[in-house]
Amino acid sequence: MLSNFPIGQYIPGSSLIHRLDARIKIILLLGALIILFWARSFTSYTIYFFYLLLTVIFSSISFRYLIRTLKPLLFLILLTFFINLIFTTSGKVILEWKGIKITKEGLVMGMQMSMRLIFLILFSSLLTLTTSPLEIADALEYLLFPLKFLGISSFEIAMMITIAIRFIPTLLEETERIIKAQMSRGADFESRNILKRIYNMVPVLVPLFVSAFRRADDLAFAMESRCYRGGEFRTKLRIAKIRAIDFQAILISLFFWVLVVFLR
Amino acid sequence: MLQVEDLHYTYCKDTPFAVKALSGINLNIKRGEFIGIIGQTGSGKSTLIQHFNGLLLPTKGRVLLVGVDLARLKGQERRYIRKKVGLVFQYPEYQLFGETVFEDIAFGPRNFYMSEKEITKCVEEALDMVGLSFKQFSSRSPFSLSGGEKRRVALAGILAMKPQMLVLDEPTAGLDIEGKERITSLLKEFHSRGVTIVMVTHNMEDVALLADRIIVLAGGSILLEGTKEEVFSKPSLLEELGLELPQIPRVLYLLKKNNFFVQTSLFSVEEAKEEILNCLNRRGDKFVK
Repeated sequence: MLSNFPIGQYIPGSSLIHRLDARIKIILLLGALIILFWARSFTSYTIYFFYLLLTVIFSSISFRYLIRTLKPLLFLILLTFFINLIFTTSGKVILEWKGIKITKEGLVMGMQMSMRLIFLILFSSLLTLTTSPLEIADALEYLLFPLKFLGISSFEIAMMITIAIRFIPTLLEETERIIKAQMSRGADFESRNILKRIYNMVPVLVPLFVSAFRRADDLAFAMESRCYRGGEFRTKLRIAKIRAIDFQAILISLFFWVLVVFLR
Repeated sequence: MLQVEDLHYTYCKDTPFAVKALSGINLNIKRGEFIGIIGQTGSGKSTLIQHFNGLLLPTKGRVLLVGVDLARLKGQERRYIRKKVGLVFQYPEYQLFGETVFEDIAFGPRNFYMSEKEITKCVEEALDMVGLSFKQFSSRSPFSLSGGEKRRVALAGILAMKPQMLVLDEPTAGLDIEGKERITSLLKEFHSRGVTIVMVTHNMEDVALLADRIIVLAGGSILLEGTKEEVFSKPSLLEELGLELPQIPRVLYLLKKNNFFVQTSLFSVEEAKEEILNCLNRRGDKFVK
């Protein structure tokens, strides 16, 4: 059920992509997503696909499993496709039905947008699948250092993100447990009636909130009893270092990015 | 009443996280029986009982309730199974959500479209069964109750559906002695009224006290099955699994280990006293009865 939910899950491993520095991975991800918006032509999308394929191969994550991360967002992808398909009205009409005109431009636009979304999701999933939440939080702390000039401590933010990420599986588990408990009392989460289904979420949400607050309380207490007192003087257990493979990854990525931009 | 045939279950099938939780479970629960399921954490106890009311469906094998295969039922039909087989999760007080105790307990009956009059009657009876007064508690918020009271309200929430079979996961965990005794005496009473009960627990005293038949799970399959005398006569095997004997047989077992020839499968203080005195007398030591 919910524990099958693949978004944000980390699969431990020792592949090339796993070993890259998390900071580099995040920067490369951002770069790859920005470059995506240059791609227009079929060739550039093909090149981009090979870029993704190469990353997947080096990450030792099965392509089939990666594709599953699209499932929860399938609705969004389809919606993007149809909105672009229907609301692009200029251009050559290829199909007309009851006042809805479908143009060639609309079709191309719809495919482009949904392809972009698919690439975006797959690349982001690759990051979370190959990088442990702790590494991501550490990297974010490092990358968010400009916030210091605004008087915000990037450490605190990283801490909050770490805690939030850490509790996703816990809360999912809790949700599943509560759903099952209420199903055992005859709650109907499989009803066809949408309104009824929403109304039926109340018995899940109330206990979930109660337990989330209880957990937050316990955690704060536990942190305090271990003398936690925020950023400034804390040292790190693992200090990330940029190595040769990181530079290789940057070079390979740059190569693909340049190709995509030139062949757009 | 409930038959389990060659049940296998794997969590997160077809993902890198796949875990085999149960393999080849065969079980036949008769009407009116009281069954205790024991085993270490991770032995598959909780996974097994979730098959009893169709929350989980077997990866392989079948679960039959009065001859009906749960996996073959459609969504709504499967929902009605849960009225027949009441499943009480571990720490059921965490599932409370109602504004009042009444509303919370009424949740189950309401899901099965009972009339308001029937619902009130069910809630009254359920509260009465768990020993809380309707007058005093029905309009209070469940969140204002003590731990033991919350547990009993949660239990009443299941009882209000009038299940023919009651399945409980660690019903006494985390309660004080008084709370524990209340729950065990409640279970005894339901059982005497003819309700079939399956109880999962770590607490050997409870199983020895209540269960007609004990099932020991280890690593997702049934390792031992039998009456308390049969199961607790294999202390070394249980020890290997990290399970303890109940107090009294444990004392007798330790005596036996130290060359006192006593019989170990006794469960009451009175019987144990007799046995120990007899043994001492047999040894020729001068002990007065």
